[in-house]
Amino acid sequence: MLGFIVKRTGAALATLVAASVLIFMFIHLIPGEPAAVMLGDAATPEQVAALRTRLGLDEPLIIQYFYWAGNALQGDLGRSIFFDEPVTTVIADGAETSILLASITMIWVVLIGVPVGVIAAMRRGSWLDQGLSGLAMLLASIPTFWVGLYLILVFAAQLGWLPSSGYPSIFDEGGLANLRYLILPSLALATPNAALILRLTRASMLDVSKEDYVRTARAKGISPRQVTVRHILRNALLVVVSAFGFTFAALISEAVVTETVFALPGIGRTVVQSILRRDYPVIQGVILVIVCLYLVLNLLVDISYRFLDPRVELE
Amino acid sequence: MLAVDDLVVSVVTSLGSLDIVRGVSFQIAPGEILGLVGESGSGKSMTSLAVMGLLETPRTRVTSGRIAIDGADITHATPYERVRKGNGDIAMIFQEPMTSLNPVRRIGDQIAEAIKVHDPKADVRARTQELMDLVRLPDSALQHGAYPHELSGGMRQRVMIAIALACRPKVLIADEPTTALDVTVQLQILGLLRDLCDRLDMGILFITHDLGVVSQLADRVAVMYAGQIVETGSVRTIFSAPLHPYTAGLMACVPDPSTGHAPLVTIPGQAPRPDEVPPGCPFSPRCSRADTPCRSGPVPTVRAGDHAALCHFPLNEELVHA
Ligand SMILES: Nc1ncnc2c1ncn2[C@@H]1O[C@H](COP(=O)(O)OP(=O)(O)OP(=O)(O)O)[C@@H](O)[C@H]1O
Ligand SMILES: [Mg+2]
Repeated sequence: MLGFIVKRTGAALATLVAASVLIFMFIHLIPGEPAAVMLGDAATPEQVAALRTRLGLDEPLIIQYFYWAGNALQGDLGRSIFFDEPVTTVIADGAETSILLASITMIWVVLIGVPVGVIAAMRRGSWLDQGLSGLAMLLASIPTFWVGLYLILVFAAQLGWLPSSGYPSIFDEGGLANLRYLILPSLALATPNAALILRLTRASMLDVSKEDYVRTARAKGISPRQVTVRHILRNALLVVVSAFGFTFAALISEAVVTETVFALPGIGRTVVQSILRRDYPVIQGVILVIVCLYLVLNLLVDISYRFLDPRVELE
Repeated sequence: MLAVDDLVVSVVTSLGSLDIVRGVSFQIAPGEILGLVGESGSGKSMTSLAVMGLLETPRTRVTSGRIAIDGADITHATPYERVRKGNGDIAMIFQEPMTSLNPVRRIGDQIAEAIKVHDPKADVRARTQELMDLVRLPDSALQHGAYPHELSGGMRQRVMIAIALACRPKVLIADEPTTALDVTVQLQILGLLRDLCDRLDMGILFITHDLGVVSQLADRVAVMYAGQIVETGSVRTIFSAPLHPYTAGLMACVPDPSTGHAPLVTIPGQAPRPDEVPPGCPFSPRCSRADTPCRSGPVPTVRAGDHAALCHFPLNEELVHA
């Protein structure tokens, strides 16, 4: 088990190095002088020269990379040009919102997608199954921002049950009750992903129920419910668990849109604004953090897979 | 004693309802092995799944006939329903030991599960040991909470047999249990089944298309063709004097080691698919003895002692009594 974790961690680190090179190269691949691009048309040559020196752009590329990567390893992602603050501070400002939004969304996805998928599979062919599967197909194909706008219309504008924009920190006045600001955004973000997980759960339940060992389980004379829970569900979840890594990737790009629709002060919105402001150090920093998160999450998925499936060899 | 009477199994297809098993009857007494032989697609597995209550309803189901164990009607009953009514004493093992065990659950747990269904108060540990001894599984097979992928095919089939025996079955159905195993392991498993049958006074329905295996293992044989049993009798009489030309053809296909390398004989043509079974005797298009009466109308049953066949023009006619 330990060897397995070490191997997978090594692979993740290699991916991280490759990704960091790409992220670093990003400002050099944009046409034009990076410092001038970042400062925009109004900048004087002196300002450009000063920024060049500050960013170390006069050094050879390889030195610049090691300089940048070395700093990143020590937790220094550079300074935001727009805010004139460390990038880590800018990211930390949006982190609470984004982490809470992603976590609540994943809870919806698991809590809705998996059980409803199981129910649809157990009742396959019934009107319930057909209704749920059709609904899931519909929801999976609607863009998140549209779901978001609809939720705002119904639950905020019409019914007035929930707030439609912004998010005050749970550490500010209002405390945990501030989480209600995240209910609609997380539902919008969860909708297409829960629908995908629902369809995946249903399909893999049906696949597994055709397996020989399920027939063996039935032959024993245990109840249909026990057959489902003990023999079908666990094997079906193997497929679903490995899909969570991909769900997370989809979540991140959709979160950018959702945070914009709901005016949430999260990292996604920071990215959008930084792109408009050409604040490249922030963009690089955010992408690096997201890559790290993604790799850690997939590592966790791999390890939990190992616990669920004894056949995964410790290669 | 298992009694199957005029069993019909139908499957709903795009062409409508098709009869796959067409009026099959047989009995299995305690301590007796009945070999069910026939070409691929003749309906052997369908028959056994119907008896076991494992048909994929509602698409595939028993449309008429009766299945009873010791007089109790179990037609249509799933294993779960049978266990709840106290008729849980039929068990089954399958062709593919590699895929018949749940890959993510410990073997010990899978055996324990079968023990507990039939006797919730059982001492699982002692009973597991007892079953392992019965099927001659070495203790090492279950040590350290082994998973199925850690065992060989032969070992896994022994585990399957242990699971089957957990319900103290009166009848064990074995659907080609050794086809996927290599020859030496195959012989060990066959020996084990014979031994269990004698020791536990258990009936076995042994399904195979290998007549050689049947001649060594079974007490009686039923030959299946296109969803019907076309001939039954004791192994000795069937092998020495088959009545049905199909049985004789099957026997001619088995290479006989004593005659050296004889040319491989085959029966001309192919078994009919369930949707194109010819009228009259279903074997008539492939039969060298077939004549006008064979091609339409019902086929008479001819008997010679305990031996019966569905045929107008049986072989060994001198043995047949009116
Ligand atoms: N779901 C189904 N739909 C249509 N036809 C089916 C279905 N399942 C089985 N059949 C048909 O039923 C017939 C009998 O199948 P069965 O599995 O009982 O044969 P078998 O004698 O066990 O053959 P084998 O030796 O290959 O195991 C076959 O011709 C098959 O094509
Ligand atoms: Mg079969």
